[in-house]
Amino acid sequence: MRAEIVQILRAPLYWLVLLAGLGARASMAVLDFRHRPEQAWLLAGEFWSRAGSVTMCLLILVVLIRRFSVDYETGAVPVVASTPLGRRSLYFFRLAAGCAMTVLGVALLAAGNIGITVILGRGTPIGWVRDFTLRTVPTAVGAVGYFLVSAFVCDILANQPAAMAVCGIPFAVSYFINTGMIEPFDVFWFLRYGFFTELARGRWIASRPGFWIVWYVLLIAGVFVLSICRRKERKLL
Amino acid sequence: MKLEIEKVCKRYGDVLALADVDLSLGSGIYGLLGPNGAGKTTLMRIMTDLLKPSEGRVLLDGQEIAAMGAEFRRRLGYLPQDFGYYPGFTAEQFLLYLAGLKRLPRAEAKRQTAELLETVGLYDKRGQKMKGLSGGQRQRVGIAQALLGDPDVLVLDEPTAGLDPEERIRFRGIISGLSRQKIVLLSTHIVSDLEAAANEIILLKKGRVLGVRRPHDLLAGLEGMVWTVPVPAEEEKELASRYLCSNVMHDGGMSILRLIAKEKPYPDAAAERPNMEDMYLFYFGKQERT
Repeated sequence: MRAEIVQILRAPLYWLVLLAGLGARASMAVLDFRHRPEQAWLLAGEFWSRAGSVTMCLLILVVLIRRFSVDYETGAVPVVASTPLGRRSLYFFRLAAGCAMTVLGVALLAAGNIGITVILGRGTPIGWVRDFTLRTVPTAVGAVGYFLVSAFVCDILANQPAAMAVCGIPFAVSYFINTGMIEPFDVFWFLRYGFFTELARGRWIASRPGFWIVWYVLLIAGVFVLSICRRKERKLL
Repeated sequence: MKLEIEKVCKRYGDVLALADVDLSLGSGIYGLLGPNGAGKTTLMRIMTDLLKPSEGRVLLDGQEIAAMGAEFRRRLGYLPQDFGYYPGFTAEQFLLYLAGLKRLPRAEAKRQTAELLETVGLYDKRGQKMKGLSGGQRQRVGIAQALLGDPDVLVLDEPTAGLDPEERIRFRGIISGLSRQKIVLLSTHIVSDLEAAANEIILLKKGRVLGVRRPHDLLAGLEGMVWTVPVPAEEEKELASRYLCSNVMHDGGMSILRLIAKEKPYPDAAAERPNMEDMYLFYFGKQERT
């Protein structure tokens, strides 16, 4: 697993995506503190609502799930799969490393947002850091769930661009759905809450949370089982 | 140590890629020879547990390799026909990564990586990215990774593809220098590589094993059947279409054909000692016409 973590840490794209996200946040923060200082702290606390969650989505789809298709895309499967650890063990190493690096990404973005906001705001209101940190918890949970599903889809399809489309489109579509205009169990309600977006945006789901817990468990488990079945067919377990 | 292939068949839909392959391989170097589409790569993938046979099984020392799983792969070194690699890794990084997957301790992985890069003549290129290496250099990295961990069973699919003559000679030296306690199976179209390196040659045609013989015995079977025939150039085509022709040279207005025939094919034909290319053509070329 150490080798997998090192591979991700060595990938320039991992750091570029994080820096791009924080760069966008810094630009917005400068403008917020300059032109609407009374709202700046509120907007800083809403970091995960847009810039933060979009950055995490890109980090997962562009960087972290690549380890699940790279062997197929480079033709390295026979070489890797003929080693003692190159099948089941490597699969689980990559999942664990991806989860760890997802959490690290969330932590770095959170720390970056706090740092940018403290520097530009010259200090923080009482309780702001605590409140923001509490919002980061559902983001971490949602990001790890989203990584797992995306990684399984990437492994099933053996193709990163295809996985990006399959997993990225529902995530993106949810941003355009207004929560005030949806009813429980209609299609748009499903699209809004069903693909980890709400969690990634720093919010626990208020609408039927019990249903969503079951849904997310079934979604992750279902895609995992499909991934395992596909690996068995390919003799990669 | 024994690798047994018991009645292995492989079907892809209606196509029978392998039919009733029965082989018993002890320690030594085996060449797997056959034309394109004979089933060599399919057989090698089944022997490395990358492909499930439609029927039959493969056993190492009496145990099914499919059941052995990681334990079998610990004793295996494999170079596939199309060697895939991570383009962004350097040669050294790629070997170290694979050494990790082969469960080699870090210090031992570094030692073997350095030693194998030296053996394949790429130590000076160890810091170069795989995408920046030539095809032959990448193939040598492929050979090096197959040798990591000092495997008991070495399966090499077209290992000399893309290598220049000097590199092929170096490769033969590497194979010849391997411990006699290993099972080495290598497939190739370059028959001269087998003559120099292989103890026995497995002939595979249309998914069936034609025979397993020593190179010397295969050549002995062709004694008295290889002829050089000088003919006028206008007769070349007719003779070449009637007999198996392993070589043609042109000298002035004359053509000198190397033919394979049970009887003397031409009045001026001179008997020659058979070579491995003659042998390949005899078993896998078009059928001789009367």
